[in-house]
Amino acid sequence: MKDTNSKTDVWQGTLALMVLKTLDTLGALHGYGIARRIEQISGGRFLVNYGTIYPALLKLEQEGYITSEWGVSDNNRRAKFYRLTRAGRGQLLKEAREWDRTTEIIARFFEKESAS
Amino acid sequence: MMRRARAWILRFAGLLTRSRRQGEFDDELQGHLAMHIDDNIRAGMTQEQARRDALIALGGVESVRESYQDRLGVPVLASLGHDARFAVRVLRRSPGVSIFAIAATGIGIGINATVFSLANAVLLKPLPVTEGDSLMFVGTVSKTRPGDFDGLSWPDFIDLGARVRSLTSLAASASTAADLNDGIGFAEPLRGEAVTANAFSVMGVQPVLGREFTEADARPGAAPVALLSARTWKARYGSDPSVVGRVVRVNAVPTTIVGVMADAPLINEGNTGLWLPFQVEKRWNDRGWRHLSVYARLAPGHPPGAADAEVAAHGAALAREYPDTNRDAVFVARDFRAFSLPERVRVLFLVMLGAVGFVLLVACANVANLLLARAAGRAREIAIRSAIGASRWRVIRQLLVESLLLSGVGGLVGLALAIWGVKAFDAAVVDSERPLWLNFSVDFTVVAYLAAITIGTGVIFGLAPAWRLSKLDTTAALKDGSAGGGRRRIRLVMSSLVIAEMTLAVVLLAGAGVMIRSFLNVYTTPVGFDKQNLLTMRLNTARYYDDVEPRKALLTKVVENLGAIPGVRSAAVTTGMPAGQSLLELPVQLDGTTSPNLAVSVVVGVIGDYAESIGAPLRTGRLLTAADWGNPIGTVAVVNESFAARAWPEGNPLQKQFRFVINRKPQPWLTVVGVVGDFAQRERAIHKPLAYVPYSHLPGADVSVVVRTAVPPGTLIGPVRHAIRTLDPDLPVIELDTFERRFAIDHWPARVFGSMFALFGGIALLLAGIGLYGVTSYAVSQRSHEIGVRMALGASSRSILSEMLAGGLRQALIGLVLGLGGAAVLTRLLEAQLVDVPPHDPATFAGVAGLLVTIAIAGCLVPARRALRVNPVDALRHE
Repeated sequence: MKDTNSKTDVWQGTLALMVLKTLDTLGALHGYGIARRIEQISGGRFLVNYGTIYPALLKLEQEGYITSEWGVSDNNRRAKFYRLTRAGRGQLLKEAREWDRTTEIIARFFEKESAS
Repeated sequence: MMRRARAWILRFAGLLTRSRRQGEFDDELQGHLAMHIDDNIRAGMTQEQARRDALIALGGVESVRESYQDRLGVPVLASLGHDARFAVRVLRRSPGVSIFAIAATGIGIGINATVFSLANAVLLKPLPVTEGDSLMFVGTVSKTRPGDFDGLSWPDFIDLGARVRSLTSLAASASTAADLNDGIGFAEPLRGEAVTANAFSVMGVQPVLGREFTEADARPGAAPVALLSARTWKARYGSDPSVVGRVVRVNAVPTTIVGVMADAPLINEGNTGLWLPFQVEKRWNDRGWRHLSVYARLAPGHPPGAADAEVAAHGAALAREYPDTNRDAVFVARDFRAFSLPERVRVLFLVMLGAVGFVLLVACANVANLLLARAAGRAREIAIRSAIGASRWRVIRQLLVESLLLSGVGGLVGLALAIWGVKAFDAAVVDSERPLWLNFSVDFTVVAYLAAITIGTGVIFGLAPAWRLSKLDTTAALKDGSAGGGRRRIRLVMSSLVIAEMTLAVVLLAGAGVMIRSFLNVYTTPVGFDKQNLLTMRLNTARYYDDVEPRKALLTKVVENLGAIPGVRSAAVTTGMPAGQSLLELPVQLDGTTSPNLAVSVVVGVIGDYAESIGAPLRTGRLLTAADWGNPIGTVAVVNESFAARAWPEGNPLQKQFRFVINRKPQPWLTVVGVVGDFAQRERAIHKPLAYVPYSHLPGADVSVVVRTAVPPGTLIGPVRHAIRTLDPDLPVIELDTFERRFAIDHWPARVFGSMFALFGGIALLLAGIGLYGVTSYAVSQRSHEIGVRMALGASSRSILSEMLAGGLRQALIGLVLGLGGAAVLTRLLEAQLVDVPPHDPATFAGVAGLLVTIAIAGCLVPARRALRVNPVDALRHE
C-alpha cells in the first residue's frame, strides 16, 4: 500500500480484473474462496495478504459490477457470496479485450526489440 | 465515469450506515478466518497453528478493517471526523493548555482582523460610487513642494476641459460657506459645495427628491436655488418631503430649495450640507488660485495611466503658455484613493497591519512552544500509535487537526473580538469628522481574511510539534516514555521561538513607545496657556459685514456682551487662534533696515484682552487696550518672545518699530509696546515669531472668539450662543466648544493610534513573558533529575538559581538586540506620525530594554525557584 500511486492503481486494476474473472469462471463465491483461487492461479506470487481482497470486492460492489448476499459455505460456515452482475460481465469482456490488446502491443514491441 | 460517480455517492452514503456495514464486515471476516482455519486443520495443522497461519495470511485484522473502512466511506472525511473527535478528547484532557492556546490565538487573530477591517475600509473596499474604477480626480502638485494634491484654477479647468480627450465631462466643485437660516431655530453653518451641473452625473448620484441643477441655474441673474444634502434633510427637517419648493435664506440670500441630493461621499469627504449651483466669481479668473476640486470619468478605452499622461502633457503646455502662474504646477489625474489618501496614512495602516501580524506571530510562537512542551509528554502515545501502524502522515495529520481545532476556536473568539474592536474604533473616531466614504465594518473580505489567518495560524503553530513527534524513535519512546535523543534539539527550537518572541515584542514595544511618547507630548507639554476653562468658537462674518467698520462694531459688541455673561472672566476676538484659522504669515521689515529681514512672522489682529483671555503671560511693557483697537490705523503692537528675540537679539524691544510688507507694499510702522510669552499656535513647541496688532490693522472676516471662564466652560455654551444670536440671528456660530474638546478632536490620531500600539505592544510583551516562563519551566522539569543529583552532591542553590536565570536572560538579551535593530526600522516608518520624538528615541529604547529584562527575570525566576525546591530523593527516584 505504501507504493507510488500509479503502481497502486495498476495493481488494484489487475486485482479487480482477477476477481471478475474468478467469479466468471466459478460463479458465486465468498471472499476466502476468491482469495484462495487467485493465490493458486498466481502461484502465491500475487496476493500476499488475503485481507487485501476485501477492499477490492467492496470497490467492485460500489461500482455495481458485483453483488453480494449471505449464504452458507460447503463446510457450513456463514459467508458472504459475491456474483457478477450484467454490468460486471460487460466490464470483464471489455477489460479482457483491453488486456489482450495491451499484451499484444507490448509483446510485438518486445519482439521487435529482440529482433533488432 | 458514471460508475465512479455511483461509487462515490455510495461511499458518501456509507458514511451514514458505516457502523452497520462495519459490523457486517466483521462477520464476513469471522467467516473467512473460520473457513481458513478449517482448511488448515484438514491439511494437518493443530488448532493453534491453523489459527496463527490464517491470521498471518489475512495480513492483520486491524489493518484489513481499516482499509475496508476507508473504502466504505470517504476515508479523509471519516478519519478527519475521527481525528477531530480524538482531538477534542486530547484538548479537554489538558484544559489549561487549551484555554491558553485559544486565548492567545483568539487575541492575536482578533486584533489582526480588527486592524485588517480598518485597513480594508481605508485601502481596499470598493468605493461607494457606481463604476468607481473609471472615476478620476484631477489636480496639481507643486514641483518645488511635492506633497498633498492641490486643485485646479478656474481658467485651467476651462482650458483642460477643452483639450483633454481621455477624460469625459470634467466636473468641478468649490467649497463655500452655506449658512442656512430658515426661520426655524437658529442659523446653521453648513458646509456648502458649489458644483457644475454635470457633477452629480459624473459622481453617479441622483436626487432623492426634486430635481438636479441645470445649466440655467448657473447663469448670472438666475433665481437662487439650492439642493439639500440627504443628511441635512434628515437631521434638520426629519426627512420632511414638503421642504422642496420652500424658500430659505442661504448666506442671507432668499433661495429656493429645489430638491434633496443623495449622499455623495467622495466630494468634500461627504460632509456637504447644502449644494449650490456653480457661480463663477470675478476673482476666480486668477489662474494661480487652485481652489476647484475636479473630477471626471475615463473615456471608454483609455486606461488611467494614459489619462494621467495626457493631463500632465496639457499641464506642461499650460505652464509654457502661462509661466507666471503655472511654472510650478504639475497636472495629475489619479483615482480617488491615490488622490485623497496621504502617503503617511497608507503607511500608518500598513505599519499597523505589520504590527498586529507580529503580535500574531508571537502568539503562534507561544502556542507552538506550549504544544512542543506537551508533545514531549505525548511521546509514548504517539509511539504506540505508530507502532500499531499509523503512518507518519497520519500522525502529523492528527496533530494538525488538534492545532487547527485550537486555532479554529481561537478564530471564533477572534471574530467576536474583531466585531467588538471595529465598533470601538468607530466610536473612538466618531468625533474626528471621519470621511463619509470610510465605512469600518466586518465584511466578507474581513471574514475571509480571518479564516485564512486562522488556518495559517493553526498550521504554523501545529507544524513544529507535529514534525517533532512524527520523527520519534519509536523504540526509545516506548521504552522510557521520553521523546528520545532529541531533547537538546527540542530545547533549541523552543529557545529560538522564545528569542523570536522577544524580538517581535521589542519591535512592537519600541513602536508603541514612541507613539505613546508622541501622545503624551501632545497632551502634557505646556502649550503656553491654560487649556482648561477656555471656550472657543469661530465667526465667519464675511457674508454679512462687507465693510470693516460695521464688522468691527459687531465684534466689539460681541466681546462686550460675552464679557457680561456671569461666569466669564474675559473674552476676546482674534484672527488667529491656536488650532483655529490658518495664520497670516507676512515678511517684516525692521526699523533701520531697508528690506524685509524677518522672513516669516505671524500676525494676529485682536479685539479685547486676547493675551489675557488666552492666558499668555505679559513679560514686559503693556497689553493692547480698548484705545488701541479703536485706532483706525494701528500704530502699536505686542510681540511674543520669539519675535523679540529674533528681531532684536540684544536690547530692549519696547518702543522699537517694524512694519509688515504685503505684496511688496510696506504697511504703516508699528511700535512695540509689550512682549508676551510664547505659546504654541499650531504645531506645539514650534514657536513662531508672532505679532499682535489691533484689529483695525488686520480686519480679517474669519475670526475666532476666545472666552476665559471662571466656571466649567461647558456650562456656558448655551448662554454664549444666545448672546451672539441676539446680536445677529443670521450669523452662524461655528465649532463652539470647550478648547479641551477641540484640542482632543484635533489630535485624535495620536490618541487612538498611540493607544492601539500600546495595546499591541503590551499583549506581545505579556505573551513573550509567558513564553519565556513556559520554556524555563520546561527546562526545569526536564532537568529536575540533574538538579536533584547536583543538589545531592552539594551544589549551592545560588549557583543553580543563577544558572537557570542566565539561560533565560541570554534568550531575552539576544531577542533584545535583534529587536532593537528591527525597532530602528519600524520607528523610522512611523516618523511622520511622531510629535517631538526622534524616531530612535533613546529614552524609549532604554525603557523597552528595561521592561523586557524585568519581564524576562520575572518569567525565569518563578520556575527557577521551583528548581530549588526539587527534592533530590524524589528527583532521583522519578526518572
